[in-house]
Amino acid sequence: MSPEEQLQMVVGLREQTLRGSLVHLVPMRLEHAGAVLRLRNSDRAIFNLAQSGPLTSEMHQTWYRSYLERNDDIAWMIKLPTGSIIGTVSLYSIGPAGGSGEKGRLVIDEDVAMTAPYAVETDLLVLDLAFNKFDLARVFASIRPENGKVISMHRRIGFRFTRGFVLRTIPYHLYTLERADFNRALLERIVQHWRKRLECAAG
Amino acid sequence: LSAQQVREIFAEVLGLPVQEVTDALAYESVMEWDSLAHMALIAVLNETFAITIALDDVTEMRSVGKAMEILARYGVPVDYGERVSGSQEPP
Repeated sequence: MSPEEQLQMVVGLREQTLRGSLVHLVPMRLEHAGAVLRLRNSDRAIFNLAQSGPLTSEMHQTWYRSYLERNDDIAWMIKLPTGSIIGTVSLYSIGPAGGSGEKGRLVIDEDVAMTAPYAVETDLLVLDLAFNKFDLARVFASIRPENGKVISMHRRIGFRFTRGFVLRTIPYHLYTLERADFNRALLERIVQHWRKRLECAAG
Repeated sequence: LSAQQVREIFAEVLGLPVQEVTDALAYESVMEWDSLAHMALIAVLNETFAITIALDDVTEMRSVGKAMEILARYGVPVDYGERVSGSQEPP
């Protein structure tokens, strides 16, 4: 894929909702600013994303303008089919085919995450896009070492610890998922179970 | 169904040694019980016992002991014939 084709793909995907059974990943727009601030300003998000403090509307608008100028970054709102916004997620630093990308900016209310595999299907949609659409060889995730449950979840998916680093004075661990290590079957099995459950409930 | 069988299911899904799976083992107490593992547990319990655990119970199932109590409500009584050292009283 040429750089021009990749740019076209990123631009196209910023206009396209990724639809799963449980969640829809809706491209982030400025109109979502209220929801982004609500999600990013929880104590948990401020801690895990190493924010120096609460995100303001002005800071988000500045970030959004720079986001639109990048050609290697796609940010989504995680939305339930009912319309409720429950989180955010991104795929960024998207390299050329055979290269790497990073999954991040994942914010999802833990209480919501415990009611159905919304986070599981979100990861499935983003990783399928990374490996199948962008043809990446590996995907990174930067995780605070204190965030044991997120580390555990990433290990189940197939991520492996790569190295530690410091971001804005905060220690992080970099995890890498090689395409061959992606435990897609585990994610698919869980989503499939809940998909059937929803179909039964709908009659 | 023996309590040991339930513990073995938890051990397999969470990736923990079965001797560490006591009734007191809780979502908050180990990093291995992450949200992905929780969803996998619900799927395995539903499929193994041919039940559909309601959403309220999905969120309430935050310890092994509580899981056994919930299973009993779905007609899957758990026999506490053998006890695991350190475990709490059955619910």
